Amino acid sequence: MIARNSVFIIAIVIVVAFVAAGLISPDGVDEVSQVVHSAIIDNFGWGYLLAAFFFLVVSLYAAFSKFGRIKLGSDEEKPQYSYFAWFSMLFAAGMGIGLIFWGVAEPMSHYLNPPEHIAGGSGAAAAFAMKHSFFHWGFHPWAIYIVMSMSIAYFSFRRGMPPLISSTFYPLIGDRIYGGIGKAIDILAIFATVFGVATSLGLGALQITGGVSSVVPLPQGTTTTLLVIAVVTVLYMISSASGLDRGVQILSRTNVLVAVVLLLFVLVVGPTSYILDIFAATLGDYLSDLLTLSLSTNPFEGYEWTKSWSLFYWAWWISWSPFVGLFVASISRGRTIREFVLGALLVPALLTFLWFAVFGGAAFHLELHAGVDFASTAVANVPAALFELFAHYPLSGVLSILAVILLTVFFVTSADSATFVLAMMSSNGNLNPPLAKKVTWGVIQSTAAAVLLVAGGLEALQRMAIIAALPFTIVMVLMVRSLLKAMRYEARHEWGRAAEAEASPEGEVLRG
Amino acid sequence: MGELRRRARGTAWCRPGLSNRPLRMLWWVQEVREEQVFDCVLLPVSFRERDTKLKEMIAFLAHLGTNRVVLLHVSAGVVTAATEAKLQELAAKLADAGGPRIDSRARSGSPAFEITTIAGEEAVDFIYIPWKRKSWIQRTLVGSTTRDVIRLSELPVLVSKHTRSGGAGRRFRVLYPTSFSDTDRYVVPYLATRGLAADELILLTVRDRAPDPTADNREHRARVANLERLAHEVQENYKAVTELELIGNPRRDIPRVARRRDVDFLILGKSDRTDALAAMMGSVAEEVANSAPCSVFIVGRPYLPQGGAS
Repeated sequence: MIARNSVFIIAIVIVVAFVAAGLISPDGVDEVSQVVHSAIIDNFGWGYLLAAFFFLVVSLYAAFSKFGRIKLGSDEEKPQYSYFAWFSMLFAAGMGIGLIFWGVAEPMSHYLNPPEHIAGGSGAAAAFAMKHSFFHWGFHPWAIYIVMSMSIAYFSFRRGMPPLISSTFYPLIGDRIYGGIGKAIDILAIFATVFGVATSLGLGALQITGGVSSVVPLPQGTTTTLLVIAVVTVLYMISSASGLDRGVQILSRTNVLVAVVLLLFVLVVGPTSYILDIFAATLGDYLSDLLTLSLSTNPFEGYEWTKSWSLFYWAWWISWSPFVGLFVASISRGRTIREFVLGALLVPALLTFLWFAVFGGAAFHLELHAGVDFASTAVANVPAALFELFAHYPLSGVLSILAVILLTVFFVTSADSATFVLAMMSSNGNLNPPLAKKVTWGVIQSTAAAVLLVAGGLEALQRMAIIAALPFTIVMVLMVRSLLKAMRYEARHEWGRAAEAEASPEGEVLRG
Repeated sequence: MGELRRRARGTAWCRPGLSNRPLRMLWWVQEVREEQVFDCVLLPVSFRERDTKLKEMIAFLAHLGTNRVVLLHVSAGVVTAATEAKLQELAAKLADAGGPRIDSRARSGSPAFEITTIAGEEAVDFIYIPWKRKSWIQRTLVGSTTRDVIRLSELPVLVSKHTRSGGAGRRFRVLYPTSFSDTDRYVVPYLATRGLAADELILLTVRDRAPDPTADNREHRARVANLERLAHEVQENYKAVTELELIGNPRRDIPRVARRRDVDFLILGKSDRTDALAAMMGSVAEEVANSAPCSVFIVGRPYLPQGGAS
């Protein structure tokens, strides 16, 4: 019993210990996490950049090589979800609250505080801000998720292994995946997931509070935020208990619909052609500079900026990858690798680009052409930046309520998916994990977010998630090696045999 | 090192799914078994080899049943009378020890190219090269004639390291690493010839781990069955046949097994199929020939105008 639940028990002990440490000595945890975090970003920042670019190349190689026709499931399997449901869930799990949080604030922040070689508040700074917002939320995060989820889906749905990160290492370490090494990998994944999601939930709760306060007269204090966390926790526990199919699917579809309504409203009511100009120009800038952006840490000028934004994001996406990867894998069964990579790389990225172009573009229009000092207001209160933007639009109250609904739904979807993934990882890859484990992880996540929000250790928690990203980067590089090895094996040893078996009436005998 | 497994012998040899191959193999093995495949050899010398080493090599050729040795020296410049005389003197010295008849040839030009050209002209059965230790940096910067000969030659190449031929209470061990691919078709006949009679033959297969335990188990069973069939095919030449299956990297694990098992003679099949990486890094055969602790016999696809093995 204990051996079967060893990952669950050890992970819970570690997570609770860290949260307790954050509660007892927030300053101490903050200091330690800051030192380790700075050391990692200072010394291994280039590693994150190279790794993310490598994952992008690997994703494209997998899609366009002969491996692209491999199905993430048996050859006869059909995809479980329709394209719309699949894209909705991909988008909700991959970007979620973050995009709502930063959609307006990030371009404004880069605009006011670009690297030292660009004048803040200039036209160059605006172009830089949009291009880097696309860069941080574009192809690279999805490539990171794709590598993770493609590996998990291949090994679990095609090769019949448990849907665990450790399973992807079978070609490299064989039966040792069932021993200490495999368990350590799964525990590290749980660790990164809990801390990453708890941080995101804490920040999301702050934003929901900000949004609700802009519509109804509510005090913007800790009590309100805790109340928000409690309400959302109840919602996602209900969603989680209803099962992945019904809960997450319904929420994600609602999510995307609300997001599209908001997007279209701002696009149509706002400066449409200005926004589309920004979209086209930034997309062109981003695509033509993709290689330079991918590989430059800017060691000669702008290194500090790159460290605090680009390198931070890359580490952040990697720390999220176990959670998103497992979730995305679980919804991608039955798709070919080519379909999976192109779908997961292009569609969510395109929606993200549109989001930034519409909300960033509308914000730039206010700042540069409407004579509103919007950028500094947005940067001063990042969680409320989106609601500040709505204040300049008709039906601002309705828009704010829709945004709060969107945030809440994203919050619930992320937490629901995370609860499912955590319960699955701590149940040896059981795709129908026990409800008790889902409830346990749900409570731990929300408690961690609430406790550390009060104690002031939320940033420390975020840094801990990023610290976990370093070993995870190495894990992911090895995972790529393992996946390519497995696919090469399949192409070399099994495709020929399968063809012979099909061609020959006694084929099955030969295959055996 | 990976997983080491030993299995008992079986009764037939074939690769799963290639059911017509055993018959063709038996025909080819029979053909070769009846002829002397080590009869005539080309031995390139640079005059830097020690006499004792060359005498050991000639003795080993006698063990293989070789009847004629063509001693070749390739000069960088013009071949002088002094070079010719020196070569003839060396041939005479080696002939004194008894054993095969020794002829000599001197040429000028690129060593690897001349060696493979003369080998064709003299219709030798294989090329026997004394091995010179070179570091990685030397091989990269200066190059290696041995590697070039392995790459260029259509004939088998024997790279001489240790030339023990058994006796004095020790077993003469031959190692054949196989992936049960086309290379077996031209290597197995050599294993089956009487010239290579040895105390022990070790059949080794080094493979990748399959992507999942079920496929891995299936692959393991297929490999074991193939090893058993192969052992049965060649066993009459050897007092003992050992079968080994290993999960790992051939470049690393073949020399390792040769070292651990105190192997005297390693036979490698050279594949025609080389990918871009192998073309840059060198084939497995070239790599193993360099790092193996014993003499290595590398057999490529034989040139047979009427089809033959191909």
